[in-house]
Amino acid sequence: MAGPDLILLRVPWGLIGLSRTRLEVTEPEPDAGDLDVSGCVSPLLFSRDDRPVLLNEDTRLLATFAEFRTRLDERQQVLDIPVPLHRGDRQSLRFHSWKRTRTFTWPRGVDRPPAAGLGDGDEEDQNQPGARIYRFLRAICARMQDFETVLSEGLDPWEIVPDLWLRPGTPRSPTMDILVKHSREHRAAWGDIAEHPRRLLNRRRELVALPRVEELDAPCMQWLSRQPGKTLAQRAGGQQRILSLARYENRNTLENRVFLDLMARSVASARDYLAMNQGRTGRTRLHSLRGQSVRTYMRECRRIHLELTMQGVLRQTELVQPNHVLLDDPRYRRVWTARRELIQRERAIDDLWRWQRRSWAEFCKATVAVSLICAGVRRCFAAPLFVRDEHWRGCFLVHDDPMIVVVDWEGGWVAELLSGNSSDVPQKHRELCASFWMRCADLAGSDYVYLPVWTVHAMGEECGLRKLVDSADRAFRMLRDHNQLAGGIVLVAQVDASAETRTEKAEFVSACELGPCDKTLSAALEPLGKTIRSRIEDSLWGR
Amino acid sequence: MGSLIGIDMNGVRDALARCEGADAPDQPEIVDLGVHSGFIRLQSGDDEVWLGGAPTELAPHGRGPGWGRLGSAENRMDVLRVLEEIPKADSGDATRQAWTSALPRVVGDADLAVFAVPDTSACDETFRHRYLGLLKGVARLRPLLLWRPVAAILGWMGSTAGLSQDRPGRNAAILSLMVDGVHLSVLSLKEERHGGVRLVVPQRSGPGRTAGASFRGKVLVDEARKWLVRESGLPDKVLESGALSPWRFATGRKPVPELVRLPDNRGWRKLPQLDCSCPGPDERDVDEDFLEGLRTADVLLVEGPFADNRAWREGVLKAVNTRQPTRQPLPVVTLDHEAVARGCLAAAVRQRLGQPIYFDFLPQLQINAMVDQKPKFVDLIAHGQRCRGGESFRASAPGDYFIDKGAEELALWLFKEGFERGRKARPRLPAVADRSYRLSVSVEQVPGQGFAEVCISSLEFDRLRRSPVTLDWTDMEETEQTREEILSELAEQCRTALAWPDTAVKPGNPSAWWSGHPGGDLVVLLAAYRTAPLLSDGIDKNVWQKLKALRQRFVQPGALPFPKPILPSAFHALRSDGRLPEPMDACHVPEDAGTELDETLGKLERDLAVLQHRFGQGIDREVLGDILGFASWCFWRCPVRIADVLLGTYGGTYSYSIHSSLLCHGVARVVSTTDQLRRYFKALEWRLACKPAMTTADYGGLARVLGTSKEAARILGQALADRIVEKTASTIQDENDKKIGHAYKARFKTALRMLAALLRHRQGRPDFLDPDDPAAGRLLGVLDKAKQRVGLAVTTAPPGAARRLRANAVIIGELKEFIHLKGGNPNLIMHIDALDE
Repeated sequence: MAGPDLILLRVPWGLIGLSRTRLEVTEPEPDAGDLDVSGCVSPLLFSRDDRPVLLNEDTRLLATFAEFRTRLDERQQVLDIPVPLHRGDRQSLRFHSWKRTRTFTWPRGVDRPPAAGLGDGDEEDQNQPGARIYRFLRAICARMQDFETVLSEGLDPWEIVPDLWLRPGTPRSPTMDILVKHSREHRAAWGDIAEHPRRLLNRRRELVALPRVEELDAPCMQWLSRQPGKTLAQRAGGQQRILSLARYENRNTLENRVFLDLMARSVASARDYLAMNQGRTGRTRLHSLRGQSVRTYMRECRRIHLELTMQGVLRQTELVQPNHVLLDDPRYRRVWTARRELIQRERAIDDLWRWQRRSWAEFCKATVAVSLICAGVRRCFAAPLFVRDEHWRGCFLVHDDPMIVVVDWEGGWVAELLSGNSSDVPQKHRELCASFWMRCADLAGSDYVYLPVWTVHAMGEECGLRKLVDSADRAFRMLRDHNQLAGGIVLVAQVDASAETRTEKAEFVSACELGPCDKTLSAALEPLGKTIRSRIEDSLWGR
Repeated sequence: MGSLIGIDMNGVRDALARCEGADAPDQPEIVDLGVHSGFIRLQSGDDEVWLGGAPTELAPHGRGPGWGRLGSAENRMDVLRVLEEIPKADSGDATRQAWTSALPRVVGDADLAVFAVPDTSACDETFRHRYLGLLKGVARLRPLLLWRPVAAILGWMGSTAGLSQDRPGRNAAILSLMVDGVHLSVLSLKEERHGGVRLVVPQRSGPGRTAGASFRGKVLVDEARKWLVRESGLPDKVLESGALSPWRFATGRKPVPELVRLPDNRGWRKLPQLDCSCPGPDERDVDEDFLEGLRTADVLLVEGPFADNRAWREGVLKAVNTRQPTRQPLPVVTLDHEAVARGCLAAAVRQRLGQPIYFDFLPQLQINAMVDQKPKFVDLIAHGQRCRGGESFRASAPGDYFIDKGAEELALWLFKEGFERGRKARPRLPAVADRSYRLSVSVEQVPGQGFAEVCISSLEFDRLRRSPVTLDWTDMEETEQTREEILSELAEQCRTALAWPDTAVKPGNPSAWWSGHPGGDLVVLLAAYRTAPLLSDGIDKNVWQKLKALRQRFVQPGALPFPKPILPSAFHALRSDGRLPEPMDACHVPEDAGTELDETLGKLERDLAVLQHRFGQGIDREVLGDILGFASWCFWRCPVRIADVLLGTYGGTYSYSIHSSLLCHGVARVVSTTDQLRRYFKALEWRLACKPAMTTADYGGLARVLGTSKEAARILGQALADRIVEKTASTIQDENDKKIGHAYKARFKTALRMLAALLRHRQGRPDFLDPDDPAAGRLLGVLDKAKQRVGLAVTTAPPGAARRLRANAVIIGELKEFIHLKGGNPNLIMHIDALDE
């Protein structure tokens, strides 16, 4: 009998571990309720074949984590599930042969904090779990941006980045962002629009003092004729006012409402940007101008925001159908484009929330590379590295496999950093669902040993480091053949910026809990490097 | 505004210098692009993406089969290999793809990128043309090539060490230690002022020199690799693709331990630290020309990717100095490896500011053209033409270029300095020429960049003006012919393809001036006339007689009584352009004949003035006739006042009483200057307006003017020309209708002369008498008829007439060829003049 179609892995090593680390997902009965997925610290989805699996009835929403073949040459795959933006959001799964979908929710999930432009950042509750995770993600982004700034200066990232991470005080350039572009291109234009916003001339009937009457229409005359008195002065009454048309300038037009919205979003995003780039001064003239220009831009946007609000312009919060002015007026067309770009930036942040586990895994990979270099190992080969302008499903870095090859001349070993789905990793090992691998060998030409690295980012789930290490260690012992393996490493996300880095060690598996924030990261690099180094050396020389 | 880039891409040790704008070039950003750099193909992503620059140095791509798929050779493209292959063939698609994909990342958002190219014979125009083509394929890149020595000197001048030494007037020798040998260039430093700024501008006045063989940097790399092969026991192939140490060693960089991946078990091997001796170049590989260059220099700058290897640099200098032991060694300055990139950037900044980067010379370029109706090779670019580097040089070709009616293509030959053989182009015209057109040929070339661009256009030919033809040197066919062979071939073609004949001047008869002439010595006669004024109280009969005698002598053609009759009898005392006749055998004109004649004519003019004063326009017809007769037979020597009387009367402005035949022929004899010709044609038009039919005298006069003066036919008005054609056709038709015994005599001769002379009108109006034109058709018709009749009559005519008729037939044939634009005899008019009447 074939196994279940889909298996939800509660921990990354779920496929090889005890049965309670797995949750089999089968085709539901007609009125079956939601699946309870609590306790999943790493929700990976195993599918018994390589056909697409539907999430929320869409095949494109899941991301491939690893692909492998069984001994019978059946193709199988493990997929990454995106995190919903809100705790209550219901997701559904459907295997290709199923008629019904299986729904599930994340009862212990975390709500994404309000979008940057919509909520008022000052009032944000800093201790909300969502806010903490948001800060954690921002810190990961900042780490990845370190690579971007170093690369944009034409420098070698593996020489500079370890230095930046080890010494948080080192000056570093503010990151490139769409806001920097806006601040350079639009600052003058926004001032011009704010000074002369587009306005409509509205007329309304009201009682106007006689000397100031300019225009009467039929209803006004009707009104006048009904007033008692013979002369105009008599009809105007004691206050000498008659009903007439008064003209008012209306600035609360769609385009100005959109402009106000852009200003509000810009202020929030700029605050967000500045928070992320706090302490960065810039290493080149151009880079150092970034932070300054965004700060000036934020001030300008805030001023314009206040000015427009005082002029009676309301903010457009609902969906906008652009009008002729927004599309064709040269001044307002820039407003429309800039707002779209900013919303795209916010969407990218939303997307980052969905794929935060992948971001964590990627960050861990870079951290492992950096920690090895910090541990005194020499980098001898490195695939060229690129940083995407915007992350793709949580991943910022683009590079070929292996990402980096390091050599310990004294220890006499070489290690390659391979991706989890690398073709250089044997099929049978890929079932371990490691986020990435280290392939190690000595300089004498002996066989390779592989070191899997699992990354865990438990959003809102309880996860004790010791428990995870034991679970992984137990799973590792259950492997029939672990001659080629050098044990395993578990890297757990430390969301809380103030918490200490911790390490745990079992017989086969070591674990480290670390975070991307300046303080914790610099403290974590050294122990992590040492842990990995000892694992590799033990396995190479201990056999 | 984007940044400016200077880039030294030599494939061994590359560097790039960048600045954000021309205002702040003091602190350029220098990017090291790595040792033995290449472009690598990335495996991640769906599109084919290539990458260059420093990251490729450590990338495993293309480092041998030990790396699996990633290590495959096709994933790496060495810049050095690409540069080496450019001279052999145009770069393939793979190379283009790699460069267009990788270079934008290397140069970033640059407005102008200046690339250094070596100044050697290998880096000829073909190389630069192809290299530029490769670079121009890169999106948004505006490349400019710069000679490496120029870049080095600019880089040196920008550095603090160079600032104190870049004195104008010095000659700097630049020794570039490159992979293919040691290159030497000598540049002189000139001072220029530009916009109030003093600039030192290098001037390149000759091509660079090379010492190859043992001076090649490649020798150094190969030696180091051989040492590694020996010490490590690894195959050469593995080290060639997998090891950078030899390159690092050769370029003098700090040695670092290196790891290679073995192809068989994909294991690792640490390479031993390179510790080999540096090979010394052999001084015998330096030739005399190379040393000659060194002798002219005041300072020697040493640079290049191998210059940082001290042992090698000193070896090279030692080898060079050994060859000239007597001479004091030059002061040597070693430039850092970024100097060339910095110099390229300095050039980009100068280009942006409009300042001269350097002065260069262009290779001579010659093209065939028609000069005075003869094919010749003319300079499109003169030998040693000096121009500003980085700016385009434009010039137009002297000489005339025409295309004939029905032409579909052109044939042009170009000879370029530095190329042994010329090249021939047969560019197709955008449309078939519907008539004959004048063309213009111009050239444009930027020194130190690609080939010269030769552009062929035409102001008249609309289609060609809108889409001019450009000649591409690379596409032109190489020809074995020498310049002389081509010219003689062209001359042959020209001979058989004339559209009009030359004018003819009737020679004079020197014997008329013979002192023993039966009619008396002409000089004496001339002097005799000057003894007294023509008009004293009344007309002085005696003087008048002398005038009559003079007229007689000049009007009457004299046979040559002395020493023997070698000329036809119809020659006069002066040539038909008014000059004295050429000496013939022992007979020549007395030395003072010219001055005597001029003085006499001056006196004649004064006499006329007196007469005009006394009688106004009512001068006695006989006296005036003699004055005009004598003066007009002096042809173009005729005094202006007398010519004015003739022209004025002819055009109806004056009312002098002149015999009509004398008037018509006389005026035709004297008109010579452009103004007179214009006045003459205007007068003729006036006469035709008054009297629709052209008289024989008018017609004869006109034939004389057109056939004698080179300019006349060009000035002739279109309407008048058409009218003459009509008249000529009807004259010939009349002759055709006459009885054969009376036909084809003087009138016919005049008509033929007129027709021949009229063809010269094509100079200003190429479509005149086009063979397809109805007027030309009619003319050809009557000529055919005449030829036919003449041909028939020849057999039956008496011998004298037969000779005349035969000559007529030949001339008619030649005239027809001219009308068909295939004329062959440029002396046709002279031949017509020599016909018997």
